[in-house]
Amino acid sequence: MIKQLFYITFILLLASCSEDTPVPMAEVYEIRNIGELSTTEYTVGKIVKLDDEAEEWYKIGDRKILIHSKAKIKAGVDLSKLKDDDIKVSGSAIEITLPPARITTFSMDPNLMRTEMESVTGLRSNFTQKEKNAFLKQGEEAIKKDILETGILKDASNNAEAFLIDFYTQMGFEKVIIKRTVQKDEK
Amino acid sequence: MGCIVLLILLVYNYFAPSEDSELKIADTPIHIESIKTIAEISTVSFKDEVVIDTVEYYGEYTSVFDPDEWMRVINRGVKRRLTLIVQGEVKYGIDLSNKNYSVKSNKDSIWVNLPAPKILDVIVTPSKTEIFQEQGSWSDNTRRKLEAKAKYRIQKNAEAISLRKKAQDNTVRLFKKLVRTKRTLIINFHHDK
Repeated sequence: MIKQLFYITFILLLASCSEDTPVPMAEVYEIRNIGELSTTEYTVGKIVKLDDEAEEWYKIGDRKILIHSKAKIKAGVDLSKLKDDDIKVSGSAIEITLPPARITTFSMDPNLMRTEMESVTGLRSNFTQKEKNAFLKQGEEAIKKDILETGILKDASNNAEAFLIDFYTQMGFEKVIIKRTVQKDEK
Repeated sequence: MGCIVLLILLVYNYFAPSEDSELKIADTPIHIESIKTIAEISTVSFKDEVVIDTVEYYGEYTSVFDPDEWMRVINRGVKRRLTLIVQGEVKYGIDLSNKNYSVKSNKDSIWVNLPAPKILDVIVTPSKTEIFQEQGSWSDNTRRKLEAKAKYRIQKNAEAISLRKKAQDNTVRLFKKLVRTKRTLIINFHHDK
């Protein structure tokens, strides 16, 4: 009986120290007017690789994980950045100075992420979802950096030029001159 | 003595917090799976944040001597819980990728026929996803389902405030900026069946 009373008191003491974590409620949204012309779409894959070998003497075992991630990236030009003097019309000729191409949309569909391999040995703890999300965040940053090396911005500029030439030709302009603003990321 | 050291190691490894903030992924290349030429004009951006939560409660009471029952009291009956906070963006605009537009003109007017605005992108990324609470062990599949649910809810929130009209107005404004003319500019939107 005394033993049971001891257990119950112990549990109640522990329970009195814990607090319910409130779930945050979010009802704030933002609406913006934009004017992006996206002209190229790349789908890229990346293997997120982590080898967490025990370096400290007190950690026993290793942890390894491979996650396949996929990103859809669109690039184009921001037409809302066009200033009044960027479009010049002279008779049947039109000249436009386009703003530099940039990434317009970057998305990583959660349904396209999958853990290909996960290995935990010894006394190491399993990978948590929080850790996996942290690895995917690093993967996302790496894709954002590497995508600029693929020539996506140059493709976007070329396609924007082709689209606008076609559009203004349909409008009846006989001569369409597109001038580009190239930025350092464009390769 | 050896047994005590082993016991300390076991206890430390069991209770030690995971070292996620220190871990760095390896440098692996990206591989391009596809390249598409598109022509999408986005005119409205809607950003939202949603909270998605899943909870599993303890079952029937067993015994006061069961350590699992102690955790029932400590965790206020909650056995496992996974809560995500997801920020996402929905972009509305017109998709001209299939050259599904036409321009006609005479000396007085220009008619531009465009497809009706629609949702072009629903964007979620790991960097805008926060695992707010992870109690117990959860599978990748459950996390993926919660993220997909969050994405769907963001899209529904955008649709609830009918941004198509705003996207249409912004498209007209943008085309008036692109088409510098003294002639009358008439923009029509055609709705696909």
